[in-house]
Amino acid sequence: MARWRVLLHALDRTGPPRLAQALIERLRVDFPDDVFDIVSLRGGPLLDDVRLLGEVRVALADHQPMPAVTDVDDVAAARAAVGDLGPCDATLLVSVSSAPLLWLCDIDGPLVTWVVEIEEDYDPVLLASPTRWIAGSADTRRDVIRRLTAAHPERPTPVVEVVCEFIGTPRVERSRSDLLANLGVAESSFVVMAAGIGTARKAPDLFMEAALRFQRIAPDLGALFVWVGGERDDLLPEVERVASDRGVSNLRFIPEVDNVAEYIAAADVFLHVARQDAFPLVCLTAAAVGTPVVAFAGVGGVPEMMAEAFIGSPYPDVGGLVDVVAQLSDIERRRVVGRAQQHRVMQHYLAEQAAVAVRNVLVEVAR
Amino acid sequence: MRVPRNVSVIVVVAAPDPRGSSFRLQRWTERLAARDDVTCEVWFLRDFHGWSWPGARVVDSLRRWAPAVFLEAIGASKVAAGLRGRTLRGWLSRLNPDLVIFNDGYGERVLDGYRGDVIKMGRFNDEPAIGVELESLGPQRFDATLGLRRESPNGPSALQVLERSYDSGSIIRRTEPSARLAARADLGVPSDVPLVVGWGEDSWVDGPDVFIRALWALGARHGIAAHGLWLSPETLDHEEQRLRAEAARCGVGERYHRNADVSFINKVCGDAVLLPYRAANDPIDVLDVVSSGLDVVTFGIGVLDDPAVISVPYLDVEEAAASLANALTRDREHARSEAHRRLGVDAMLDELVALARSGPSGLNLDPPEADR
Repeated sequence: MARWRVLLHALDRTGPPRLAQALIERLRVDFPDDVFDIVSLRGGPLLDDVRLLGEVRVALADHQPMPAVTDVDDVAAARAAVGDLGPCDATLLVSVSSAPLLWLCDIDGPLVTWVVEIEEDYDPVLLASPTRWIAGSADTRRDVIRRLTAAHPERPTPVVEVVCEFIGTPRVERSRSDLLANLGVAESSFVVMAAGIGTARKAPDLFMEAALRFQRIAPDLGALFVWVGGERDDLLPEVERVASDRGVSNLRFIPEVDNVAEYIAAADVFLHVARQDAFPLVCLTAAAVGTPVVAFAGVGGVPEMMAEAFIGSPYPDVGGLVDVVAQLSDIERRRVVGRAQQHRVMQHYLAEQAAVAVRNVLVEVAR
Repeated sequence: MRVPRNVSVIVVVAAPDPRGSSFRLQRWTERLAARDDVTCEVWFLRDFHGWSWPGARVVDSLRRWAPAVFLEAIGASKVAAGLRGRTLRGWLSRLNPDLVIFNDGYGERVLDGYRGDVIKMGRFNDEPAIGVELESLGPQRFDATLGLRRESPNGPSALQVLERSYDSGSIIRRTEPSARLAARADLGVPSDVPLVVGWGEDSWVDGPDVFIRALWALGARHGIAAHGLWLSPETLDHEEQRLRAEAARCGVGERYHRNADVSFINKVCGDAVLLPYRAANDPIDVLDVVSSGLDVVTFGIGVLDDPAVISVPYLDVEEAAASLANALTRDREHARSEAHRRLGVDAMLDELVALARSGPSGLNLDPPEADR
């Protein structure tokens, strides 16, 4: 029996918590004797789901600012909230964003950091810790090596293994016609969907530009661009306001949903316009449910994810993306691309095959 | 040869105020009044203090006019009102105006009871009217409008005159090629490359990221490795880093420049201008920039009506790049002299005088063709 500790930045519906959830759910099936502690900086909507997987402790209240090391009282309160953690065989940080927990909750012992983002700053405590580094994609690995080399140029080139991110098998319970009817969208519509937080990195503004351009080049296709989620973030409300002021008629925004997979399954195309995304789990989800994914090349892991099945254009060619989306108005083309991408994801990026690689690293480190 | 007749113009203003549009109005009414073929008076509706506008008449001075005040004091208010009205109409008859221009559309009451044949023109400004709380807007049935763009906020009128009150002669002198080259050198921008300039805040609404992507499109679609200069008065470190990261992502990191000195010479030191705003922005300085011979490409928000102001579909980066590519081929010096001819204040005054001469029966329903 092994006891693993998993550190998260939050229990929201962003990539790292979802990844951790998929990992633990799978490992509990494959290794039923393994026990998990989950320690999160903040709570969120996944809290109840994650409680089913192990003991969960949350250090900070949802909107509590991150205390500084010198905020003795706040640090003490966070440690008290987490409580006495007891020993574990190894600790896994899912995302560098969870690193503050190392000093906030005085966590030590064998450590694995699974980097799943690019161009994020690393906490100095993490850089100084004797962690084993793994990266969620080849792109991420290159970024990790670059950062570690810059932080410690005197050291040899760090060893960073690629342990690809993955998803659990998506759950699709409602039909396309039900979902679209719920949204008030005609079933004959050509639905182009995106989903994510509403920040500049995820680029809801570029999604709006794509919608505008599509309306100009293919006004007769009856396309509807739908963005799911992000309503609490900085940029999305601005984009919504501008879209409303300018009368962008083929664009809709709907709030975050519990099961984004079935919404994506109801779409004809999933358009991922992120300016930067290391290895977007939402694209894995889209491919897994058979919805063809169109994305930028050169700004993240989607080309690596889809390999020969990748379709898109180099960043920042929004016009090129729109042309690719327009080609997918042909149902046969959608089927071909969707099947190729689905096959790719099912082969490599489901938790059934991929989760054990993470455990293998934890076991090595624990020895 | 028949000598064109002199014309008479009254400009009605609520009260002097510190808006840029009011300063412009004062400058060009002085110029109009200085013409030999024009009699021009400015009438303020209300008393004001602390502002000097020589030669102006105050309509509401009739409220303080001693004979009328005396009549009111002895209970002859109706007689007083009639006397004031006759006096006002006397002023009008003496001037016999051909054209009356109502600033912000206020003041039609001055023509109550006047039977003369006059063209009524509304002047519409981007800045909201000041000091008009006690004025009511009249029926707003204007024969013509004067403004910085062709659409009138009060619906279509018979004739739209573009306000062109820029001292383009001065601008030409200030933007000689040597001055522009010196500005580029000061900014650290190469002098031998095409340069696109834009300005605004670093905020998302003003679109500096769109500016960067248009720079990419100029290269990717048109083979033009133009440099881009974004002028922004102040910035936060993280915003500047974000934009530099965006430029690097787009592969134009070496060609993207940024400076906090949003001076006029810096705005015009390039070869074309892109204002990539996602929402309306103050276009007041755009015609100054055009006067220097530059084309300005925008997304059609608050756009001014001039052939050198090119409006492309909203947020269409490809079209913006295509228009910039075209703008970069223009002969700058030829464009400067054309802009001088087109945008100089005298061109507008000639149009107003011609309008006044034509009289209400001679109004042309089609707005004049813009030419380059």
